[in-house]
Amino acid sequence: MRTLALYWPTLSRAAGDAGDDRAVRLRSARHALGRLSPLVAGSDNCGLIEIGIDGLQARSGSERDIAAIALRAVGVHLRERPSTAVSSSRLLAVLLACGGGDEVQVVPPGDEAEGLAGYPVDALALGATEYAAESMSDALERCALLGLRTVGALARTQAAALAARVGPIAGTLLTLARGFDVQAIAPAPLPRRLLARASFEMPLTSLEEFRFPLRRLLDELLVRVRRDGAAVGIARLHLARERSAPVRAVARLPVPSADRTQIERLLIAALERALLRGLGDDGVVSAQLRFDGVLPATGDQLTLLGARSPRVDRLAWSTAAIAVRFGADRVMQGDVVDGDDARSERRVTWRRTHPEVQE
Amino acid sequence: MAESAARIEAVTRLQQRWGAGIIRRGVEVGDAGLRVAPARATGVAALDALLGRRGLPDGLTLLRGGFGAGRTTLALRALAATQAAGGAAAWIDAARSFDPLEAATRGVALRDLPILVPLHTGEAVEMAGALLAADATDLLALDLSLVRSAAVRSDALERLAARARRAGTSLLLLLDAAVPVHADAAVSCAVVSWLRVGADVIGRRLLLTMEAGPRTGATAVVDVYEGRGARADLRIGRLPIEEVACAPLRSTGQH
Repeated sequence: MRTLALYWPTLSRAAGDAGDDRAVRLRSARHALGRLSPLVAGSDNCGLIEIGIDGLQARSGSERDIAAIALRAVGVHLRERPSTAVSSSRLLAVLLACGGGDEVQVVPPGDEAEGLAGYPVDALALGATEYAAESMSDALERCALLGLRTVGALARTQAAALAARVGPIAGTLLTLARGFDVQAIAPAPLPRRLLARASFEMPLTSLEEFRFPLRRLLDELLVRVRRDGAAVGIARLHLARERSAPVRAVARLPVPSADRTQIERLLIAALERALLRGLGDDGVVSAQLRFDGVLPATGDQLTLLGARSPRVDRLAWSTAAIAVRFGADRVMQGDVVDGDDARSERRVTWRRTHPEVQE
Repeated sequence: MAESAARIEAVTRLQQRWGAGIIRRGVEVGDAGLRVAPARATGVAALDALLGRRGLPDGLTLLRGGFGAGRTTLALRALAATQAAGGAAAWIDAARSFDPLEAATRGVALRDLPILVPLHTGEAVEMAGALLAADATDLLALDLSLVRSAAVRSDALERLAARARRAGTSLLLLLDAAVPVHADAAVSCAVVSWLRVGADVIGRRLLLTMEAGPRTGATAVVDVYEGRGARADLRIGRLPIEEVACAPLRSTGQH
């Protein structure tokens, strides 16, 4: 598979630096690349993103054009320009990208083995992450003891001879060294962002008026969410007003959901809290609804073992709305710690039922 | 014969005017009544018998009584019964007196019971209104004990009752203030005697009187043991109990 690798050396430093928001920025960059290709792999800890670009040429042009599109997409989130490489071998693409350079490095198909030949054998550890680090380093150490110090030297050995010396991992090492992939890009399900906007010719001056466009916006986005069998984690609402500052409301859902009524209730509760005095004369001229953290709806399970009122689910949502409106400390849950403790304050404990509603 | 025909005609006319449910046949509460499981049970057989076949009605049920009269115990038992039937229940603690240990003792699943803590009575009514509007509970307990009668607005409570009726929810209101509220059912609680074993007081005997509802004027007696859960209650229940003499009663139950 043709792979485009992007590497930011500055984002791969140790975590915990002051103002370290690299995980968020890398995630945002992966979100942006998700529009280019469904195959996007990377983690929050390392400034490396791999993109499967097979089949994109017909739509987006040459591989250099695709790389330019990718760079534009991530440029919004990451100011530094990454080093970039394209190859049919994931390992080679990553190695070239990590090597640095301003230009996009493109390895023509078939030249992968030649491109890898000069690298030390230790570089193969980057291409076979499914193996435990210990077994891989042990095998590579044995290769070094046998005099196989470069990937090219290893690629020229016979599979049976190598297997006799380093064990079953030999097949993987040889495949990698000869420029083939052993692992396809298996992207984690990306939390998606969905956005819908509406503008109003006549400014809306009350929340009741705003309910109808809000429902329309919710319907527009939830159709897409449900179509993918997904659910929403966070809903954000941005209302632009005629004169004063915009109003923002955030609803963190107690469980990922695609239920319009419940999301609407939480958003309205959050709006009421943000607009204690109402909208007044300064009407809303446009609204933007954004769903963050759209994930596969895997959390909902069938009710088992006995009857259960449908209100049980609604209760959690309603108390979450109350927590948004009145404060998270108004909805509590008690628990018995030790009923026999001599000190009454240690017999029970209290905790907030919806700590997630506090921004 | 003529009297019977006139009666049938009158009944038909009333039913046409007000609906089929307007005329009911009176039923005396007895042992058989105690055995019938109502649709929305309170967890206390004697109280179920007082309330009738449907148990707690949709709408407002008042539990009145002084301090220590057993209102909270009855409400907690009703909550436990609702949860046991798979229903959703919530407690609005305007009195700031909810005790999780007591609730667990009475069989309430604390994990599934949100406790709403309002700052004042108005906020408690708002919270109750929000839950009823969202049709989110089968049973909602609103504890306004220890709240001054001046702070409780009867019109607000009646609006809540109407909402509860529409939502098909039972709203259980615990009051000790003399607030004039039109309720679907009202039960007054009073302690008539202490239950003791030797020198130890192990519980109370409550007299429940229906002040409003399908069996207005009916009474029942409930024994409440101060145990730690059902097992302790059962253990205590097998002990001989010395009873203080009390007024003649129509039905009895033990809890």
